[in-house]
Amino acid sequence: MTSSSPDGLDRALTAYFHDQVPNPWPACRALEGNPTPVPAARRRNESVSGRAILALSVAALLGFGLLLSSGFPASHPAVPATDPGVLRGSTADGTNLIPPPKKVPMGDKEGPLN
Amino acid sequence: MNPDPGADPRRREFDALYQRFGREVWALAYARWPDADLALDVSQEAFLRLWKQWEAGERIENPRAWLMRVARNLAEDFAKSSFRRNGTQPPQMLNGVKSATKSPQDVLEEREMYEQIRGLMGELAPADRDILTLKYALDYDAPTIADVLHVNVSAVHMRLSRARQRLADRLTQAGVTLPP
Repeated sequence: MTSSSPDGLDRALTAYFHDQVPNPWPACRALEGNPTPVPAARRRNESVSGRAILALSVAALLGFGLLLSSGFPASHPAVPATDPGVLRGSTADGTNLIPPPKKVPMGDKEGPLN
Repeated sequence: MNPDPGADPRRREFDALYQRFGREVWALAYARWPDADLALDVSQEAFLRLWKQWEAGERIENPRAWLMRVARNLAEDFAKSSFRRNGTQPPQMLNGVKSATKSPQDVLEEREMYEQIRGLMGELAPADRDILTLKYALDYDAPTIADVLHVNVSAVHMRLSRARQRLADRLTQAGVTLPP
């Protein structure tokens, strides 16, 4: 029997297309792997609270660092006893800046190069 | 097979949309590219895009029409790119028919007939494939097809008759034997 029979064609097309339609009909993939969409307004509030938490964390870190630094007294004075920039024992005209070299008494023998 | 849409009304609403229009979207994708698995991928992708639109807060006035348009575009894009790669026939054309609990001889004959129908369907105009798929895959009546295709009922009857006749002529020319 060829395709000239309308009933035969109808049956063949119905069988063919029903074979092609997925059965059972699968679940929606969009709902399987995606979280519930969050309204834009709620997302904005969440980002604001996130920033507030970050600011609080930074403030706590700075406060803790400050507390640590003030808790340990310095073993050496931070400021020198004399005026910084002026060498001890020096004068304004530059004398006494470097003590004069001591004279070493020479022996009888000449140096090793002679 | 339903995923649990949970208590979220948006998920429930979306799942209802999927259950209501999923097969229609599949059918129009299939009419563009006669591969059941590809049509399913296309329809799932169309729904995923709609979900993302919802996530972005976009309001889709007519989700059914939106899904149809997206699915058609996706299927046509695939058809064009596949044609460039493979010519007129998709590579999976000969192994996409599902088996059934029938005798091997029956299954073989049925598979052969399905492949012939599928090949000849591919030669029809997209409008013919649309109407035949909606009629025979989804068992839609004329008013429902008219609603999906945005034409009047008398046009559906006329188009369906012509599409059937064109397919019948091709089947006859190809010497396809149909079961009684």
